This record gives sequence, structure tokens and C-alpha cells, in this order.
Amino acid sequence: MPREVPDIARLYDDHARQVWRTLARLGVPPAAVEDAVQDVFLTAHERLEGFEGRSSLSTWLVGIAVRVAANARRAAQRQGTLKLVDEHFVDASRGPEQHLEHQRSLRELDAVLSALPDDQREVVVLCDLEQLTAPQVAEALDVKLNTIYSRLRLGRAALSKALHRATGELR
Amino acid sequence: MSDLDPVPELEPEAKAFLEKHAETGEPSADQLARTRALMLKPSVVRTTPPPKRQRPSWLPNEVLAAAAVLVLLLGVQGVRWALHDEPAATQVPDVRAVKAMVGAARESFEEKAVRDAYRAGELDGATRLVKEHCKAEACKPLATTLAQAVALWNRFDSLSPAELSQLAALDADLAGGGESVLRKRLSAPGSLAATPEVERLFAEATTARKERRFEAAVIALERCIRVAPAYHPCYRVLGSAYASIATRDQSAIDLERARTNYERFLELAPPDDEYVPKVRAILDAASGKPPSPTGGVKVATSQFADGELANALATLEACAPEKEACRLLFEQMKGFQTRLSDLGSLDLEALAEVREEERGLAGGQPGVIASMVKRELTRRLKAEVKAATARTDWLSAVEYARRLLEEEPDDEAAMQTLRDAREAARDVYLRGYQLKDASPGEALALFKQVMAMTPADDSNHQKAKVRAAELEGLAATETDPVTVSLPLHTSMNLVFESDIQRVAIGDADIANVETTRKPRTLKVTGFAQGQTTLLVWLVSGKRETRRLEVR
Repeated sequence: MPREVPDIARLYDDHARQVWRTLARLGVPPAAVEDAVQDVFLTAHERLEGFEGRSSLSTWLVGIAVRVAANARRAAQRQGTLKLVDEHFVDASRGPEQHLEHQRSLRELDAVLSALPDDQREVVVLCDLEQLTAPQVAEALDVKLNTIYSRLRLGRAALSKALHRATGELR
Repeated sequence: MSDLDPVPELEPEAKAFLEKHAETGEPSADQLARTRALMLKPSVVRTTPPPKRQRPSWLPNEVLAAAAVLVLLLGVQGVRWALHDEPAATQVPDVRAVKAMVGAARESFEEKAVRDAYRAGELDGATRLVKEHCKAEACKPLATTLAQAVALWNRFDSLSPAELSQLAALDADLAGGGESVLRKRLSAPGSLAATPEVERLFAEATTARKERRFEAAVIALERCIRVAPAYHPCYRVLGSAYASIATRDQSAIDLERARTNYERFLELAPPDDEYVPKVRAILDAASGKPPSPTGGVKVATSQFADGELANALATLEACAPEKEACRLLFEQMKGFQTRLSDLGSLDLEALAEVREEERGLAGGQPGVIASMVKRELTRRLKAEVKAATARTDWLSAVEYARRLLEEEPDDEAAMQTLRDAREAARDVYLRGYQLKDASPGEALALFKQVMAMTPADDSNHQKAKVRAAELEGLAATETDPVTVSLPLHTSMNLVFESDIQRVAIGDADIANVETTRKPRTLKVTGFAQGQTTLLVWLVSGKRETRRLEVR
């Protein structure tokens, strides 16, 4: 039976929330997340016909999001804006208090996760925040399962260390 | 701890932190809806980047900028009034300043008109506008640039490369980042404005792209385009670099950039440019058109040079039924593909041949695949250097190290091997020196070994060269030594043409040699069966050799 290929609108409606969250948590500057989300879905749209269905659509999209996030981080580094959490980026649907709280929360998360090397951060975000299983992450990143376990182990240790450091600085 | 060990659970503190951030990064409904609306516009779904907010075309940038400055100035002034608590009536902004700003905005507006006229190719119109309206000081640089450009355009056919380059820069300045209809003339055959700087940037970018440092290539090429906007090769390589980034990162934006630059290349490049068919084929393939059967060989060669072996084979397969050249090249590339798939089984010479073959298939220049072959060749040479050094086979070690340095000029292990060989050459030289009289053949081989192990400026190399020349001179004069045969345990007198100065024998266990009371005579006695060499230096300066054979 031929595989049903969803159109981009449906793909977006079903997965945009997860893709958005993943990009924001992988260090894409807030002002660039919207562009990155578009990038993910446009890439997916272009490649949808060639999608072999070896993994779920969700895992496949997460894989694209990880690569797009890496690209966005690199671009931001090139432009010197990686550390610039865009203060002027206002989300109209949230009240001012909610907006500030959201920004603060994002900054706090980013401050800790940015202490992790990129490959470990990706695995920690996908396993421990997005609650994907290690085999799913291995599929998404096209990396061996053992490598995922190794990165997860190192990433969790680095996360604890970063948290200890952050707590120590506050004391 | 191995990779298979279980992953430890999150520490409570980390767990709590992540739970706290379970919602962080979540988009709002408005954000999702806005992005959805933007993305699902037909023009965006066609892979164009997200549209920017549009401003009405009747509102020029300059007027907006002047308005912004005015608002800012008034705001700053307001703050100053508040801080100094001075009466507002005395702080009315200077009318002349406001007038000057409005004038500047109008001037900018007229400057825009001049640039528009230039972009449209209306040199006379632009010159007239400048004469009529461009009177302010700020407008003078524009007037000067236009005058210089017009002067160069008027004698375009006789411009030198440097002047062409200057014209390209003036054109870019006058077009203000936009398109100019005249720019195409700059890219006509023979007018390619390639200054040394452009050539350097282009070479830098090409190398970076081959080494898969695409970001570095993009930086160099963007600069190349700024310096020489008409230099079409930069657009082609920039397109290729963006295409590689797009493939690597699955980035639609970079794919679009690749397309834009390839299209720009096609606009600027002369029709007979060798890359035009290939770029056209790439764009056709991207838009789903079938490849043109004509020029298949050229396109495939170019694809091959870019490392796209599968695409090159597909191109050739498509044109093979119609063109014999396509069929032949297809077979050749297919064979190459087979060899390439089994690089590990090829010896060093075969690897070098594969590289030569790659160069031939890529149209005479090493293509992208060459770097793959080079990697394998380098890996093998490193192993050979290591093995030869371990068995103190200095001749082989030095030969492999030199070949390795040709591939990898900074390879530290190869350089160390050459240093070690140089050190070891000293001992080899001394051994040769000790044998040079008793066994000149062996000594000569050792001296030659020293020469192979050391660079020409090394003192041992130079000494060995002198000694080898001496021995070779000797060998030349005595290429066919007289053989003296004598039975075991018997003696024989050898008489020479002048008095004897010095004597040496290769193997004293085979024969003994001694002087006698008779002048110019040596007594030779056979001790053991075998052959050895007898060297005799005469007072006359001549050296004679006898091969002694004891039966």
C-alpha cells in the first residue's frame, strides 16, 4: 500500500510545537527561532517525497531541526549574535509579565545547556526534555545507538556540573 | 566505562531543573499561527525565503531616515530639557538644522533618481540629473563617481584590465547594491575584471571549497563579489558552496542562495564559458527538467570534477545512445568507479595511477575525488614510512617520507624520518669510508646510500658525493680488472709498471699479499678458495685492480 504523504500544512499543524521547542532549546537565538522553524518545514517539504519512512515523521523532523539549529547557531556565531538574547523580540500573545518570565526561563535554560558541547546538548535535550527514546534519537541524528548512550552519559554529567557551577555562583 | 554500560539516571538537582523547564521554549498560539500563515504563502512554499515586511514604494528610504533622525533629535532634546529643567520656549530646535535635514532628504531623493537612471543604463540622463540637482556638498562624491564611470564607459573597448576592474567598482558604487544593465557588458569575453586580489580571493575560495570548508569559501567569495561584481566565476563557486552547505545542513535558505548565485552566474558568464552548460544542467535538475543531451561529455566532466560521480554517470548514460563519446566516457568512468570502490586493495603505484586517471577524467585538473585518493595515498605512505623506519631500511624510509611530504608538506612524522635518516647517514658514510680501499664496490653503494638519505646541502652528502665520484672514476678506468687465478696454498708474483705505494685486499682470508725485495713486485698467496679484489696504488699515481681467484 502506498505511503500517505501529508501536505506541509498538516505536517506543520502536527509537529510545529515540538520543532519549535527543540530549536529554542538547542540554542537558536529567540529572534531566529521563527525563521529556523520555517527552514525546517521548507526543507521537509522539499524532501517529503524522498522520505523513506524508516523512522516516524516526528523523528525525521527532529533530525532536520537539529541540523537547522546547528546551522542557525553557526550563522549567529558568524554574525556575533549568539549571545544576544533578543530583548526586542516581543510575543504579542503573551502578556508583558508572561513574556518576561518566558524570556527569563529561556535564558536560564540556555545558560546551563550552553555549557554542554553541542553533541551532548542535542542528546540531553532530545532524551531528557523532549522525552524521545535513545533509539529514536539515534535515528534522528543518524548516529549509532551506543554513541547516543555515551553522549547521554557525558551530557548528564556535564549538566550536573554546570548546575553545580551555576548554583555555586549564586551562593 | 564502556559505551555499553548503563546510562546513570539524572541527578535529582538536574532532574528538578529539567522538570522546571519542561515548558520552556514552547511557542504561543499566535507565534505558531503567524509562522504558519507566512510559511504557507505559495511563494514561500516554492522554497523562497520568508518575505520581509514591505514598505510602500512611494516612501523612499532617505525620507524615512530623515524623519527618524528628526524624531530622535526631538526626543533627545526633550530629555535634555527635562534634565536641565530649562523652559521649553528657549529650546526650540534650530530651524536651519531642520531645513538642512529636509534638504538632505531631498538631495538623497535626487541622488536616488541619479542612481536609478544609471541602473537603467541612461548615462546621459544620470549626468543631466547630476548637473541640474546635485549641487550640495554631500552629492559631490556621487557626481565625481558618475563622471569617472561615464569617461570609462565612453572608451570601454580600449580599457585595460585595471581600468575594467576600476569600472566594475564604480559601477557597483553607482548601482548602490542594485542591478545595473551596463554590468553585463563588463562580463563580456575579454573584459573579465580579474585583479590580483580577485584572483587571490577566488583561489582561496576554491581551495576552501575543495577542503569542504564551505563557510570560509563563502566569506572569500562574498568579498570577491564586492570587489569585482562582474567577475562571474565567483558567483558559480559561491553557488556551489551554498549548495554544499544546503545539502550538508538540509537548509532551504542556503539552497535558495545557491540558486540565486547560479542564476547570476548565467547572467554574467559569456555563453561559451565552459561552466555554463553545467550550471544550466544543475538549475534544470533542481527545477525538474531533463538534462540536455547535447554537451553531455562536457557537463559530465564538470560534474566529475566536482565529485559528483553518480551525476556524471547519469548524464553520460542519458546521452550515450546518441553520442559515441558519451558511451566511451561512461565506460571509462564506470571502470574508474570500480577501482575507486576498492581503493584499499590497490598498491601505491596503482593509487597514483588512479589519481592520474581522475585528473584526466576531471578535464586535466585534480577534481574533488582526487582528495579522497590522496587521503588513501597519504595513509599508506605513512604506514610505509613507519614500517621502513622500524626495520632501519633508510633508503625506503627516506623515499616514502619524501613522497609523503609531497602530499602533506607539514607531516611531522615524515620530517622526523628525514632528520633521523640524516643522523644515520653519518654512520653509513663512516662504514663506506672504512671499506673504500678494501671493497670499493661496497663502499660506492654505501656512499650512494648516504647521498639518497641526505639533502644536497648536508656535509655527509657532499663528502659521500666526492668519495663516490672518486670510486666511480676508479671503476671507470678499471671496468674490467685483470683476473689472476692461482691454486690453493700457492704463491704468485705480480709485477707492476712502477713502484708500489700502497696495497689493499678485500678479503685477507682468501689471499695474502706482501711486498718482495724485487722492485714493483707483489707476492700473492692463496689461503682459501674464493675470489677477492686486490687494489694497488702506484707511485706514478695510477691505481690498478686485480681480481684474485683462488682455486
